[in-house]
Amino acid sequence: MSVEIKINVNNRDYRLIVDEEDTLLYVLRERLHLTGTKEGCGNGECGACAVLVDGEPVRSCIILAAEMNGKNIVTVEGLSKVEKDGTVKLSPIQESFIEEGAIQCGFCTPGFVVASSALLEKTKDPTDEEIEEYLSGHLCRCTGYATILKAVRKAAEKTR
Amino acid sequence: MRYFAPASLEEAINILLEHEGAIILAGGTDVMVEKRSGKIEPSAVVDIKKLEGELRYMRLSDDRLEIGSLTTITDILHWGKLPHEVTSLKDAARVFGCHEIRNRATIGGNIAHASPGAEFASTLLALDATVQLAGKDGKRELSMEDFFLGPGKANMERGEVITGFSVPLLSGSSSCYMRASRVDGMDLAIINCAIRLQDLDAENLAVRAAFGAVAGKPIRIVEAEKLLAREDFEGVKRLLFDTLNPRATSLRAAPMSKKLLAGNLAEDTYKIAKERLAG
Repeated sequence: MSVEIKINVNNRDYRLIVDEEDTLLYVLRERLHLTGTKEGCGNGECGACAVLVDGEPVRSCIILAAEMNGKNIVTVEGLSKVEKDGTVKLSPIQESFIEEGAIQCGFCTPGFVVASSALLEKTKDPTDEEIEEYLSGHLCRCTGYATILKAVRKAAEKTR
Repeated sequence: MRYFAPASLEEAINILLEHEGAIILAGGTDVMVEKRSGKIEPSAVVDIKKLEGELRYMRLSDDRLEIGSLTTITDILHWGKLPHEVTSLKDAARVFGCHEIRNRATIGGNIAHASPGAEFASTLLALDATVQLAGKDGKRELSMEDFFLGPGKANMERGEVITGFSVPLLSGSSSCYMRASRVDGMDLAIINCAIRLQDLDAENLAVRAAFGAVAGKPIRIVEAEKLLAREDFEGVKRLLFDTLNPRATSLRAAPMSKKLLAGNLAEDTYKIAKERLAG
């Protein structure tokens, strides 16, 4: 059976008919073609599918799209801004990930970037411990954690 | 699978009764994982999050703490008014999953799932909490001991919804929850232990000790409580090693490891609770 939902994704309103079993992740990737959000483990353990729902990071692979009626969703694509002349302006956290080379295979990166941006919305000056705690549910199987920490610290400095 | 989002408790109960094989969906951090892995195949999910106005609360009243079933783990972790007697609830919230999981997971869901190692199962059991249920015939209240029946099995009738928990706040008491796990973040307990202490008089302590993931359901071990009250830690270790019979099907550790760990964990948990009692 299907159900109608109204959601706002990256500042755009959508009215969608979705299957009752569709996950939020599926709808973002396959219906809205926002493929920045990744499916890693598919059971809420790895964090690759993190998106913001009403400003809070959640795992889109274990949330039904039907649950999202009326919600505001931000994916990794929504963190950057497109200027009037068409150029893309990355967010401080995205810039810092590039500058610090906080990436190896890149699969975990959207999840880390989305969660880190939520952290920096809350705390402008997080301690290393706070960053580690906040991101503890995100797995990087290339084990590039040191550069990720560096990037988040650098982005915090930029936004201060 | 059908999806329902009832706007009232009564409507939720009716949908659960009308649809055989329907399951309640709160935060979804257990239900969705089990559905996606094929472990459960619900005919319908009944999303009760529209009942947040009614079921998401933490209130202090008459020496009790009342917690609504839709209270999230993040709510518990960051509630500034949590009484010191029930600090174990914060201990459990702190190690629960990770930030994103805590944002969605609810205390009601953690208990309804009846996992033998659930963080809040041993915690609420040691705190002598009661669980409140609503169904077609009205409300009922059960002790945590009577609620858990076995792995994944709770004392809930079809059509019943957990509405909340009531936790007594004893004067001169303290509590602690600890778990053994492979890593600090995003892990489940190998075993866990929750303890509540109460000062009876200058020399005597009343101890309630609950253990998770050492049996098919979270259990209180009265003999261990007596030994802990005498601070006979070697006795506790011997008792738990000799008497525990953990399931061999556990994914996280062999039964022998759990038998060896239990007494040490009980000692550590007791000592922190004792420190908290002193203030």
